[in-house]
Amino acid sequence: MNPTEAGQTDSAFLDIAANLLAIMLIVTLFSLITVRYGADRSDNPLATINPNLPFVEPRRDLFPPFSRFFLVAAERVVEWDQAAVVTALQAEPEALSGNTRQGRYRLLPEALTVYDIDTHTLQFHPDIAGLAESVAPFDETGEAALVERLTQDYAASRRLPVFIVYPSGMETFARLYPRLQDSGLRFRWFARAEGAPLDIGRHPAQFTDYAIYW
Amino acid sequence: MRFTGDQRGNNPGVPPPDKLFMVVTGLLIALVWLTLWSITHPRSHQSDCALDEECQSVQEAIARWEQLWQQIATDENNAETASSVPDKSLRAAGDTVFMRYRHLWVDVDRQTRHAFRLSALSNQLPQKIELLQPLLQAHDAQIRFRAWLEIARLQLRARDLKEAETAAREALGVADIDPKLTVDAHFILAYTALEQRQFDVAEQALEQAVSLDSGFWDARQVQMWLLTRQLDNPRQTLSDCLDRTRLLIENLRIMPALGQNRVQFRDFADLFRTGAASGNAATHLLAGLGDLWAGDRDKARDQFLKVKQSRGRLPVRCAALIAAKADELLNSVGSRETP
Repeated sequence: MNPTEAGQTDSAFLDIAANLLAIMLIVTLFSLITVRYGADRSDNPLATINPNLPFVEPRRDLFPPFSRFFLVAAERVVEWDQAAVVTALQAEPEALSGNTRQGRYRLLPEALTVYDIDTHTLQFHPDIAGLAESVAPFDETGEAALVERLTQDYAASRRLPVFIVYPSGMETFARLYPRLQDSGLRFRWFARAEGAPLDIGRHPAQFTDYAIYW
Repeated sequence: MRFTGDQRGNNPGVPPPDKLFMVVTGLLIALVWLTLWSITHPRSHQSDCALDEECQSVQEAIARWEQLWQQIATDENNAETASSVPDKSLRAAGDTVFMRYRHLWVDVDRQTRHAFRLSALSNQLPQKIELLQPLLQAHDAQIRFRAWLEIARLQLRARDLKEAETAAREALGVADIDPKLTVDAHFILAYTALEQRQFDVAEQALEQAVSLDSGFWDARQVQMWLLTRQLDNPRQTLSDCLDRTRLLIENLRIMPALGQNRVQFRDFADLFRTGAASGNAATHLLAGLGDLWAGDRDKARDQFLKVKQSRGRLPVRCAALIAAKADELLNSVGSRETP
C-alpha cells in the first residue's frame, strides 16, 4: 500500500467527522432559532386570565350571620362544642379556665374597658388525640351529609361554618373544599399550626382591621 | 212685490230669534271678559302657597340650603377645619356606639360584664338571649339599654325583623339615656324599615341617628343610598328635595374625615353600585362636588354642565335652585384651559 493512500484514507475519515460536526452545529443553530418554546410566559409577559377560576370576594355585612366552628384535624371533621364552653363558664363564674370533653379553654377578659364592655378573647386548646379516638375518620359519605346539614342550618338559624384546619387535617379539608365551593355556601377557613389554640373573641381591632368579614 | 212684514207669528214652536241672539251675545261678552281678566291676572305659582305651613317649611328649607353653602365657602377659606374628625376618641367602624367611642362605661360590676361576654361568646341564639335576660332588669339604665340593643342586634342577625323592631323600641323606651347612645336603636329601626321597603320611615330614623351621632359611618352610608333613591321622585315637595340634597352634600363632606380604612370606601362604592344610577340634577351636582373636592376640576366641570341638561325627575323649582348653584360653581371652577 502506498503511504500516500493510507494518509488519504485517514484524512478522509477526519474530513467526514469534521464535516458531520459542522453539519450538526449548523442544524442545531437553525433549530434553536426556528423552534420556539411554546409557553405563554416566554413571549407574552401578561398572564392569561382563566375565567373559570372562582374568586370569592369577602363581604362585610352590617349584621353578619352567626358562626359555627369545625375542627379539622387527624383526618376528622368535628364540630367545636361552643355551648359547652359557655355553660362551663356560666357554672363557675370565678374560674376563667377549665376543661370540656373536647379540650381546655381559657378566657382572657379585657382588664381595661376602654371600648365596649364585652371585649374578651377565648383560647381553646383542642385535645386532638382524644378527638381522633372518639370520632370515626371523615370520608366521602360524610362530606355530602355535612354539606347538607350546613345548608339546612343556615336556612334555619343563619349560622355559617368556619373551619379551623390543622396540618394533620389538611388532606381531609382539601377533599372537602371543592364540595363546599360547589354547594354555594358561604364559609371561612383558617389554617393553624400544630398545637396552636383556637382564638376567638371580640375586641376593637376587629373593627379597625375588618377581620370579621363574611 | 217686496216682502216687508216679519215672520214672528208663523212658527210658534221656535223661540223668538231676537231674544236668542241677545242671550248668545251676552254669553260671548262674558266669555271675552273672562278671558281678558285671566290674561291680565295670571295665577303665579311662585308666590302663592297652598298652605301657610308649606310656605314656612319651604322658606326654612331654602334657609338651610343657603346656610350649607355658606359653611362650605367658609370651610374652603379655612382649610384646616374642613376635614377635622369630630371626636378624637372616635373609631368610625364600630358595630355599636359603645365600640365606636371610648370610655362610655364607668364602674360596671364584674357579673354584668361576664354576662355580656358570655352572651357574645355563645353561638346559639336562644342561649345568647337567655344570658341577656337578667340584665333587662338591671338597676343601671345604660345596662338595660345595652341588653335590649344587643337583643335587637341578635334578632336582626337572625333576620327576624319584627322581633328586632320590638327590641329596638324597648331600648328606646329606657329612660335616662344620653340621646347620643340611642343612635344604634334608631339605625336598627331604619334597617328593618328598609328591609320592609318603608322608605319614609327609614329616612326619618336615619336622619335622627345621623344628627345625634355625627361619626356614625354605617348610618351615613345607608342614608346616602336611601336619599339618592328618594330624590328620584317628581312628586316630592320642594323642602324635601332641598333637604335631601343638602344632607347628601353634608355626608359627602364628612365621609373622608371619618374614613379610617380604605376598605370602608370600598363598601361605600359597592353600596352605590347596587343602587340605580338615576342621573338627575342632584346626583350630578353631588358627583361634581365630589370631583371638585378630590381635585379633579375637569370632571367637576363636566358634571356641573350636565346638571342643566339632565332630564331627571326632580320638582321644577328644586331643579332650578340646584342649577343656579351649579352655575355658581362652574364660574368658580373657571373655563377649560385650551392647550
